[in-house]
Amino acid sequence: MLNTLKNRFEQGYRTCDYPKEKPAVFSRYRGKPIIQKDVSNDMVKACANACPQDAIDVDSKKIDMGRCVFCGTCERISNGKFVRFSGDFEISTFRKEHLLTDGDLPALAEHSKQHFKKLFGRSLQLRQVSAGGCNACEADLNVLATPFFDLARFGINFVASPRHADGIVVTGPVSRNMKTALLKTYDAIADPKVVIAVGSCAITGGPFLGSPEITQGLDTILPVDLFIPGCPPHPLTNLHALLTFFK
Amino acid sequence: MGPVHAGVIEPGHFRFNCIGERVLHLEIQLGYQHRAVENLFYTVQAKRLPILAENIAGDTTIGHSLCMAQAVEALTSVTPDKGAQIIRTIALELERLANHIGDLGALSGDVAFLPPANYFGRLRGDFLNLSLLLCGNRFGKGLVRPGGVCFSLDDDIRATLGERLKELKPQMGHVFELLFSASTVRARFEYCGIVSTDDAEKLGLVGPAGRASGIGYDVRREFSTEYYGKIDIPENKKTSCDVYARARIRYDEILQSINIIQSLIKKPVQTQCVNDSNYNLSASSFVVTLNEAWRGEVSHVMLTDKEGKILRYKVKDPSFHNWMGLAMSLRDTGISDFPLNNKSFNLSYCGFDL
Ligand code: SF4
Repeated sequence: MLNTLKNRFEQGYRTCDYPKEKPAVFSRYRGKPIIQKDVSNDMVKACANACPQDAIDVDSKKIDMGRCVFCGTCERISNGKFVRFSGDFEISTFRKEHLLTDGDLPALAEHSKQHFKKLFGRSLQLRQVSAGGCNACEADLNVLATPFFDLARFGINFVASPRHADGIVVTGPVSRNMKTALLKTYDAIADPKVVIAVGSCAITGGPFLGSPEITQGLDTILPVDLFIPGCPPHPLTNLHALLTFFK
Repeated sequence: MGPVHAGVIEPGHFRFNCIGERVLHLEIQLGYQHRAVENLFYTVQAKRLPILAENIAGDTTIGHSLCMAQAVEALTSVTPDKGAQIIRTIALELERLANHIGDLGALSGDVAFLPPANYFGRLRGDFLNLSLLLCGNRFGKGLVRPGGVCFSLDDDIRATLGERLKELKPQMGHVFELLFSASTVRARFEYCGIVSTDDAEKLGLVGPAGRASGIGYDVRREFSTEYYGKIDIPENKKTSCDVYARARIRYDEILQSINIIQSLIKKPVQTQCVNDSNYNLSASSFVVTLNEAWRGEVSHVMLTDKEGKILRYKVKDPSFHNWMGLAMSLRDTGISDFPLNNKSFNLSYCGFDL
């Protein structure tokens, strides 16, 4: 018992002050891209050719964050002149086309589905469905339950059954073998419900683009309300998206 | 039950053959995560290879990336410099640390001892953040490329890493003590889910699960890659073959990994970061690579054709062997011991399904 108490004191209070204060993230973290448009076309082309995800659109000089895995290759190749990744983790959008960005994102708080805030603002119960992917997105959703992020203090929880849920959070590129289970889970949730796509796999197929076993984007089979990009999205990105969209 | 489980975890289907509460056998049916990764390896452009390797199993990003990178290095002239080898070793140990700590947290959660579950949960995050410190991603994605690494270990990063480790080490020690000295925890861990050495050998269990059942095999000792040849890795082996042994192995390895990293970052580490993604693989060749990731032996096999194109690519995650170990551990135990046993193995679905 004494040991338990001693440990409790040593651990102290660890919960972050987000959203009041943004916690510092180490400088190498790659968040929202900052794009310089006044660079030569050659440089943009070099970046686009090297990009493993073919996420760079040469003509518009934009990056598709839905495909991007934030590997940092383009930043390295252009030496930060064309693309530089900032420490800003607030990168989620409510429309897929907004993910094709030149660095500006529409404010998430002003999305069109304002009635969600009324419906789910005080209590949001989510069912997570992992459908393909590599388990990193799931891991970084799981940590939202640890003391540092403590998602439950906002009235948001991950629940065990779709029957208890207001919506689903989907990770992974929806493998052929998980499609039926995913759609059944979706059907089991009562209306009105929300669908959240987490990670580049769920948004476009991500690293597995081109595989015949996957779905090229969750929005092709379900109506998606919220897109959280990243490979995987930082837990703070997830937290920001959930709080701004629903609160 | 499954494929959709109660927690935030990957999909799999478990069928329990029971008489009352006793499990006769557990049938594990996987395949829900199948993305045809192996086929992608020989259909996509070379620049996508590292991204594919990183996403075979996200919690083993470094383990799989290393296998892929070493396979390409073996069939080309590119070789990592000493600094890159050290950084890769550090990254692999950081991955081991984060996952082992997370597992111990999950184990304490499953015996309803919540304080260490939460502390370990937080500490795991701290170690994931150290990977982020090193390469900008909490799972080490973007770090390892054929020929070296993409991020150097600058002196300021090295200093921060050292400071954080120094701060975290005693905290970890205290939580370990809290967990392992609780008699209620020992009562649940001991004699639970025994896989005998004989069975483990027949099934070919690897990694901590194998070592807990008395198989000392550790790739870091036997086929050392990267910087492991210069590091003294003790033979971690337990003989009680139960959940307690599997937890205790993790405890030992956590302390060893911290010491390894601390010794590696004592001196400055210099490396030339790599950028290139065009590899000319030698023709008609065959290569097998092995690394000891946190779950155990990861191995990749690459086969090239006459023109040096990849003809066949085979990936083997440690989970491939160990899922059967989980099924064995449950034979003739109460079904309520399933969660605890499952966590003590903590296997990968995507690494198995590919
Ligand atoms: S960071 Fe994104 S856009 Fe840049 S090269 Fe990597 S995947 Fe492409």
